Amino acid sequence: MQLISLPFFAGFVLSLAIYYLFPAKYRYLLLLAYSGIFIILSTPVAFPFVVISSITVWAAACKRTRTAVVLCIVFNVLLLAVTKYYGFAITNINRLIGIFGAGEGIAMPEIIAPIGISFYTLSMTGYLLDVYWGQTEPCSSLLKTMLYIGYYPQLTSGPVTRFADVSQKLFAGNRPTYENITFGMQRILWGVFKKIVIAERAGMIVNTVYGDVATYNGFFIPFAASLFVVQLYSDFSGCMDIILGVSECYGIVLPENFRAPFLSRSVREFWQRWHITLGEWFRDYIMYPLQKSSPMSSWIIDFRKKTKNKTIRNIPVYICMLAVWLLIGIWHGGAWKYILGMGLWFWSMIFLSEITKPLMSRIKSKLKIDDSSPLFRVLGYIRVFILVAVGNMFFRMSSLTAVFVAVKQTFTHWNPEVLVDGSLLKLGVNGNNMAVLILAVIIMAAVSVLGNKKSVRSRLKETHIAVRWVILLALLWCVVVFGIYGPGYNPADFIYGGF
Amino acid sequence: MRRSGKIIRITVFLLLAVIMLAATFNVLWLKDDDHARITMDTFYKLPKNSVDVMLVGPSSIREHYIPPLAYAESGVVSYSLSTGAQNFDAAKYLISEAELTQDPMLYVVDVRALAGISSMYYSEAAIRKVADSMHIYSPYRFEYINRMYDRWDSTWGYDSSRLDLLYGAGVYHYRWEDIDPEDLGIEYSSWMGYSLEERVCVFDNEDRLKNMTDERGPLKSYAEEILNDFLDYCDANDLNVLFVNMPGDYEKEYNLALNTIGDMVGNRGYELLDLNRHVEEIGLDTGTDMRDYIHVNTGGAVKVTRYLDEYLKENYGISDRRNEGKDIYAIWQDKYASFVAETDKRFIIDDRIKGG
Repeated sequence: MQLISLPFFAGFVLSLAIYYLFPAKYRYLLLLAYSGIFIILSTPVAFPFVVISSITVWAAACKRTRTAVVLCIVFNVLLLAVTKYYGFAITNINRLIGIFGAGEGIAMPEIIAPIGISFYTLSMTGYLLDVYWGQTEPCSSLLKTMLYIGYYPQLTSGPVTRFADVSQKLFAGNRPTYENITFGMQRILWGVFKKIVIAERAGMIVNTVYGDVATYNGFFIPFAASLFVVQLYSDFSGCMDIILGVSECYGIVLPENFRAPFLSRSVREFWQRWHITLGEWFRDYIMYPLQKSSPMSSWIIDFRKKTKNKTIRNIPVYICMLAVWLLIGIWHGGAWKYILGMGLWFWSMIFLSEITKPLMSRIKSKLKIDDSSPLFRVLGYIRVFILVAVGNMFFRMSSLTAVFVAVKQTFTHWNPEVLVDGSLLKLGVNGNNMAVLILAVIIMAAVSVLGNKKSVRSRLKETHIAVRWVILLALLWCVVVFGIYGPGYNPADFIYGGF
Repeated sequence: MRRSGKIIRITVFLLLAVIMLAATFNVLWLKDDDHARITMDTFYKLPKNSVDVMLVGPSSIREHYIPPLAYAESGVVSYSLSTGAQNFDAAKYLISEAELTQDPMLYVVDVRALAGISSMYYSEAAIRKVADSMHIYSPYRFEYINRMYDRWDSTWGYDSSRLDLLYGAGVYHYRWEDIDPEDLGIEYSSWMGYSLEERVCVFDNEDRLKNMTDERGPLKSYAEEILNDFLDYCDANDLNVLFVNMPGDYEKEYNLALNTIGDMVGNRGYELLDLNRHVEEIGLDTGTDMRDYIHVNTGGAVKVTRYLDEYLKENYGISDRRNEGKDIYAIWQDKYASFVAETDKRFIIDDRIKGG
């Protein structure tokens, strides 16, 4: 079921109405039932996966023993691996077989990945570990565990949640409030705007350029790479806005996944503002346990004792980070392009930034550069944007080879004139639509900046009702008129919808 | 705020949103470059039970017959519910729609879309010209769309959602880019379903006659089923219907099918008036009166209108309403004055108009 589709919104409104008509005590059952229906209508194959995973997690959490927790995590990670990474494994095995001439290779089976498995596997693993570490109480109800894992809004594209943060509202049987419903609806509208007004338009240009880098070479490629960052952000954060808005209408507040990521001055800061729940999950459940593990912690202590150089002494920590970033790369998909682009690339940038910090400080001090000056801040934003754009090229392009070809095509053709001679208006988006895109991106950026310190919806609530309604009606008008939707248009899935 | 206040506030907001979107789509709706919307809009505004002759069909009706002229010269109160490439299926639903406000003595139904049935008449654009010109809430619009949707699946192999056809927002919102003055309320000139045509196409009348035949040939595709369905509808509703074929240079295959249609309607007690066999009596000149091989220009339309009016009065007892002095016919007189003014204007610009 598409997130932006009549069936989704019809189902949502209907379930919302029934949810609030149900006795408060049993409202979570309604959510559970509707989540089941949603899963069956989306990818029926996911239903048994969610049920089996829920049963194992519930049993392991109740048991709370090391063996039960480890077995459960291994079992569920195996399910994830089999459904999501079998292709990657078989492709690489076949490559090796080809290299060594050891036969014809393994046939590629067709396995449909259950909806949301990448997200709920992380959430349930976090829950089990929290239970095992005694940070949260196990949920004694199988049905409630099932709802935590299969709650339909977050099943589509996350966020990765923590049981302690969401369970109370999820099972509470919330009362309908004017604020929840209006705030939720506003957020859904904003998400739809980002997706169908911005992301889909930007996607048209990106598809044209990346679909034929031999023709669209030179400056076309950095233009498309920049635009893909816009597309990915408006798509993913738009999707999050819809999910969080839907959930808010039920009175269930899910954790934020974005906090003005392009106001970051370092790649590290960027990842603290982008896909926040994923970053936090890997920090809390992989990075910290790895650092605290006895072999690693003793190595870190030994290494620090032996090394005086402040930069070098943190090498073991960077190695832990490397492991985490490789896992983040793998989580994004079973392909080397993800491991390199979403894992290794960002780790390298953070690593380089950290080890050159003393040097950069000295340079800044010598040149008397005030890095808190507005100019330096903006330069920092631009630098991060460029680094993210390069990493995202791996994410977007079909393979590593395609990335290298695109990079080659960028540097072997000098055609800056295409940026001003109207060529950019021949990439699938004409002048009018380009104007809409630019204006919409400016609005999105402004909202992002405004929302950095205080929620835009809270600001909106403080304005006069006439102003508020004009803004909301204008937003609705823009969505309906400027949105890319309708027959003949195949609504693209959300980019993170396949995870 | 009290609970009732909140509910009122939400309701008012939603109402405003609906009004805003309705106004937007009123502008963005179907591009009226062939007068489909203005034809239906004007029809809906006609005084109740004022029309005596309702004409239904594709461009062959719109471009061959001038209702204001018919009233001014013969007193025939008529209206053409015509849209470009209108398929024959539409006749049933347009007549049902017409029956909601009118009680015509006679329906004149053109059979071009039946004898020359092709995918052109079932393109999305052709269907939308009918469906999206009708009132959006009309039950016959829904029925027509359902019929078209089923036919798409079974006959023409299109694949589109029923909902997409019912609600054109998905299609029309893209029109924000090509809004022109007409979309913003400046009406196209349309005279009760007639649109002015000043182009001239010259062809040899012998070519036209060469393809005329008295032989019968098979109907293409689903034409027979469609016609029988329509005849059943006419019988069931006790409608007085005259089938017509307008003058033109048709393929032989078309003429063969036309003769078969003539037999079929004849067998059911209806008449098919093939005006292509009355070209000389009408006075049509293929050197000056045609705008292409199958449509007349305004000069030709004037002649066809005069001939058809006389035929209707003689054979179907259509009354001359000019001397009844009723206000309900004033609009026909006004439209005639507008038609004359426009032809005069164009006559000055282009000497080829031979009407009047």
